[in-house]
Amino acid sequence: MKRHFKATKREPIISLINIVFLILIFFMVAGTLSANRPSGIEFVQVEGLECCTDEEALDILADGTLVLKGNTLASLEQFIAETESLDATIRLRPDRDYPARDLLQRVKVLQSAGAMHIVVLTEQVS
Amino acid sequence: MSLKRVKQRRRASITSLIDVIFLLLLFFMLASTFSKFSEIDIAVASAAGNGQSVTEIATLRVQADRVFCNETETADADLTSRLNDLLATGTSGVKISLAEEVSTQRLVDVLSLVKQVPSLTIQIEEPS
Repeated sequence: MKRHFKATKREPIISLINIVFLILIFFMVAGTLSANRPSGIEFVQVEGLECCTDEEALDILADGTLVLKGNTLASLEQFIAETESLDATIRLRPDRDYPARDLLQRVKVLQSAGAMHIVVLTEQVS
Repeated sequence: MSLKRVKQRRRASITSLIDVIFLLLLFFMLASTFSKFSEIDIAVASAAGNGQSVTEIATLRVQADRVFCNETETADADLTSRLNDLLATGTSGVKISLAEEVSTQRLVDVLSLVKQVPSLTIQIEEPS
């Protein structure tokens, strides 16, 4: 009787492992590891734009705080000083509730500092 | 006796295997995201006109819940067809000006609508 018990217990464990492995592989393949995103930011959502770009960008929170790679920046001037070349594309990722006029002011500042190409990153919704 | 021992060792390793797999699974479930990002150009033009006549440049005044296209109120759904009409009558670009209360989401919504009309140049007016 004991042997029977053991035999029936081992099988569901193996099928459990199979399923867990499947889920594990799904998450490893389908998900990308999220790079240090600031908490509390709600990305601008857009349908139908060309997918997908690199997600490294200067985050702008709804209250105007600038966050680059997890570090809060004191001002846009600091970002300009720390950026090696403004010729490359400058990537901004503002919160969706950030006032558009303030965004334009900042884009203006970047442009007058010499940035040629500025893009806004938006989250793709399908 | 020796056979039984081998069996017991195998069973123990399966349990720890499950533990490790569960740990990995938890890690990937918590750490992965599925959001994809796309990008949209944004460039601010100075408020002063650059010599092009009014017929060539249509003006878009964007407010939080409506858009004025050449001072005519236009529903968001009709904006693309309206711009296509203007394009057919010789308009080559649009100038977008924003009301105070417009959010970034709204701006990007309107921009992506305007981008659906090909070959229109987009200027965003500097906020005064």
